[in-house]
Amino acid sequence: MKTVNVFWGILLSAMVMYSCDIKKSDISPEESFSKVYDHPDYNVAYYPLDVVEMPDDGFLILASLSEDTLVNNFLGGYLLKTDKTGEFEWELRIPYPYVSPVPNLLNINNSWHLLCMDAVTQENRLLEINTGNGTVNESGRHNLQFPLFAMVDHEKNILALNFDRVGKKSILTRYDQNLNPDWTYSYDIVDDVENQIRLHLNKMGKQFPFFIGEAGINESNPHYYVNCFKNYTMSLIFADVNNGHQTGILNTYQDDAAISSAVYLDSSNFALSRYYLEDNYIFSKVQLQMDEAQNANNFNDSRVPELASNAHVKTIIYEKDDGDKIIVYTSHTKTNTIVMYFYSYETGELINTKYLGSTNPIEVAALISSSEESLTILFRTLVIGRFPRIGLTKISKEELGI
Amino acid sequence: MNIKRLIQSIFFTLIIQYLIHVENAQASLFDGFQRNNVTSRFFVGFKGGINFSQPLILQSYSVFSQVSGLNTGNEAKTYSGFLKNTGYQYHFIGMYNINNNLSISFQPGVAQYSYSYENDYSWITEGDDINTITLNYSHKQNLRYIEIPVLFRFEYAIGNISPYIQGGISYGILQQADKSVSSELIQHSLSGDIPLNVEDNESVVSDLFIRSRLALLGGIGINYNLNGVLLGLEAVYNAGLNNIVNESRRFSNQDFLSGNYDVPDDINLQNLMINFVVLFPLNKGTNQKDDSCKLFLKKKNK
Repeated sequence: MKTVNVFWGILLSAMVMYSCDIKKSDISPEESFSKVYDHPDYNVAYYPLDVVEMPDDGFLILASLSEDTLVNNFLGGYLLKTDKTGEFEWELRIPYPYVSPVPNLLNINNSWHLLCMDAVTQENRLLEINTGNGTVNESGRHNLQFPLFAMVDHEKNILALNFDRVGKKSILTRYDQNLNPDWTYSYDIVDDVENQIRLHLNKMGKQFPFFIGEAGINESNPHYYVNCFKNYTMSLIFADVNNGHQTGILNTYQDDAAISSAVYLDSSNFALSRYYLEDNYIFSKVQLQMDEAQNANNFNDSRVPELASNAHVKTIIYEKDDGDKIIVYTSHTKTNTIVMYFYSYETGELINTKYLGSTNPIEVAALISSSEESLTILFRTLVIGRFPRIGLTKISKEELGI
Repeated sequence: MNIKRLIQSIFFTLIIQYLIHVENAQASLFDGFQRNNVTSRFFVGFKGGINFSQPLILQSYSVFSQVSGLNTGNEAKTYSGFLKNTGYQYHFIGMYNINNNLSISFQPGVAQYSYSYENDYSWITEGDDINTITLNYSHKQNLRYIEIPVLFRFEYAIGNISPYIQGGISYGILQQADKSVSSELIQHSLSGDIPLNVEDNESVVSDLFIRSRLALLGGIGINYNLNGVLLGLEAVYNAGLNNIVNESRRFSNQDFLSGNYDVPDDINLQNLMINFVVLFPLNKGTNQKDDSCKLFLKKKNK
């Protein structure tokens, strides 16, 4: 009888111990998910560009869309809205002649906008997105051609990067919120890169990491930094915030090298990544002189051999609720996985690495901080190795392991 | 060694000690049985058999989400029927007779449950239904648990035959979960079907499931008294009470997630077990306290 009592004791203890994991497993579907937005037509190809989290915790995704029925060379624009669990809510094929949206959604007066191109004139068009009913309407236009990137600065100005194919220039313009220019400044390009830029816009050739950022806005030396063609190379240009004049430059090597991502940290410190002749490098904390000319090859940065050739890299500062900051790089590897590198903001040391995906080709399009200290990655995957589709994965703070 | 492993070790040590105790008792048991009409409150034995599983879907999940409001069925899983999901179980039994009709038993053992489902995907050229690609996945999951059931049994003897009903609760601890996926990719065209790729993927997926499974048990059975050894056949419905999928790890298995576009649904596993049962009386001697037991076994042996 004693033995039986011991059994019951053990049984009850085991039940108490192990039952804990029934509760521990509980996680809401919106805390973590991974979705691929599929379409059964195998002639449709999606090229995701950017994602933002909406007030309802759902996501608004911007993409380019290629369909065999498209009558022009430039890819159409596409918007997709999900609910907070990543499930499809609505989509919009942005109507012709608005094509070739730049890969950054713009928050202007708490309303989402996108900058795109008029298919006929190739000029800038600003569209306001009605996220309630999934429609767009034009809210501004300007005659600069070939928009490559745009952002909203801390004073709510719109910064846009354009390519002037006639004058062979990269052009930085600061606009007000209705796309009226404040100032424009151009950077000469010596090489003829028109064909490369056309292929870039049509998602047919090498994809160049055009971007704009702000540095030192709360300090005495504010600058814009612009990643674009200048002279013979893809260069990171530092520009005066008052007129766009170049104050400094970080040169790379023709179009075989580029800064693939840059985030301003503090003082003159940046978190950088770059590619050079198909190899990839990360420098989680580097001092850049914003008033000098420098060369990226002079850095003592870390080679990352697992990344795919000339990999797209997205970098953000992830801030926890307790104020702790971490530099997060995400990219894709030669073995078809998304990789995330977590670096200490203070020391620049690697603190964790996380891998996602396998088997089918995958490319990172955007990385954002999302609700509940999660991170969300927008990516493009080839479903069954064939069909380019949009993918979205939200990773909870518990899964991040940082 | 973590606490869970320590408890497991203690648990199995006790089972072994108990079995040794039972073995030592066997000689006196059978001696006693043959000398007298054995009087015993205790029975030991074992049971084993096959089971059939059916998952109840609490919440369905899919990697794919169809755009354009299209309902292509590309995200739906089709679960196999009850009879296709076979598994097995074997249990040790220690049974104590509370009175002539009512007994309580402790039945630690091992059970493997299986369930399977399929999904079919297709991609077409718009306006050309003949030129399509289809992808068919077959998924099979095997989950092996150590189970600790406690059952109450009510039986009524009619000669050597004793039909009974029983009910109780079971606590299962997941030992291992395996998953296998086979896929077939076919190009359909005017010239016929062209198989493009056939793949199999198999791996341990214990992380996708939580360790615990609680279940209510209820069933019927019948015993035959063969010279004091009770031979039985029983059917037990094993009704899972909790979601066995680890929600926090649903999207963690990258091979199946992005390789096969598969994530587990929340499920509650229901199961029907068919068991063959053998029970031996354990002689504890005759004394005043065993009067009710005497009556019980005499009734059984009439």
